[in-house]
Amino acid sequence: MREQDAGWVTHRSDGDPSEVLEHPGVVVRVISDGRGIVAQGTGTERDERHVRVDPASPDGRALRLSKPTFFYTKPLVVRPESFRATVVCPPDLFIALRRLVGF
Amino acid sequence: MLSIPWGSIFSRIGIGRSTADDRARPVALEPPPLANADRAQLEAMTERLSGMLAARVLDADSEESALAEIDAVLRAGGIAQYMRPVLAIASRSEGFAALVEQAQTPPDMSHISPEAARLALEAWELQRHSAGLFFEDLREMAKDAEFDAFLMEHRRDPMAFLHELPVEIAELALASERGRAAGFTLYARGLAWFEVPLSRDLMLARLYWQGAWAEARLFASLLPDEFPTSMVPTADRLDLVAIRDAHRAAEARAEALFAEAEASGLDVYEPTTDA
Repeated sequence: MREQDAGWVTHRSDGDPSEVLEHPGVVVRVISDGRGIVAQGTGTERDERHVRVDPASPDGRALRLSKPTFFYTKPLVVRPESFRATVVCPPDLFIALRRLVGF
Repeated sequence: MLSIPWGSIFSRIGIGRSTADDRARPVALEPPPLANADRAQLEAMTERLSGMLAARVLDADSEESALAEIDAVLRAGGIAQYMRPVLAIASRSEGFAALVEQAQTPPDMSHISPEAARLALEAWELQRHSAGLFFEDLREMAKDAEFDAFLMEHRRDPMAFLHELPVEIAELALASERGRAAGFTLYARGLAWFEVPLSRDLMLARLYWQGAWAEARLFASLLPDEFPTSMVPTADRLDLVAIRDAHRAAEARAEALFAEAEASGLDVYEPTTDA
């Protein structure tokens, strides 16, 4: 897990622990033990400050998104085994997400 | 034209953080051997880099894909590869003189459209002032161990500034690096083997100008007495003390968040309140 990696946060469903869920995420900060602060994306639009990424936009294509994705101010702290990196986040989006989550 | 190690520059005034130990995205640097530190060698290196950039950027089918190509070249260390021999040249007095001379010579922009050429020459004027300050700094650093740190920043990850520096600085540094790549590409347009649509020139000239302006803002913020306000007005300069304080506060919040997550024992921890 490295800063600016984009990929998928994997975690178990609260309702059904056997179900594994994945959400898009971008790593904004990593510490020496490998854990990272991750801006998490969701398909749910809420009336809060956010960054929206559309799948057809250059950023959406780079992140290989399949639907509009919304990033909000509250990040996750993720262990490396719970993050599957796929691509490097485009620089402008990375800066926008850093600004959004405050790190 | 140079790629500037922004992380090293700002770390000297206590801004940013090095991730050299916990991050390794190595860049393969294979500097050409330095036989003669002279203007001809600098020009040859500039042509080689420009040609490499142009081959990728000018073939792009849209502005956004041209920008993506520039970002890819920056990330892969394309410009960083050029930095090592340039810095080696700069560390010698005769080489330094050649570098300054190169930076003071207006580029030939007769091969691009008049509007693009006007923007490109404005960019060059801005960049000339920044470059003069940077070269002076380089010459001083070449005398001590800081020079190696400068070289290493580009070797390990030329885009590390994106996550190491505060966002206000990182976004200007990004514009600066993109602008430099655009400037190199415009230079390559003058080389005989590139034939491209003129419409691409204006986009590259805009990027070049935006980069030069961003770079001037950064240097004017770092060295306020060295830049006249007629060139970079006070309102366009960064308050580096405020940025440093905010960055330190963010670092403290990050540490607290990691501690909270550790205490939770969860693999994926979601804080209950905003950081």
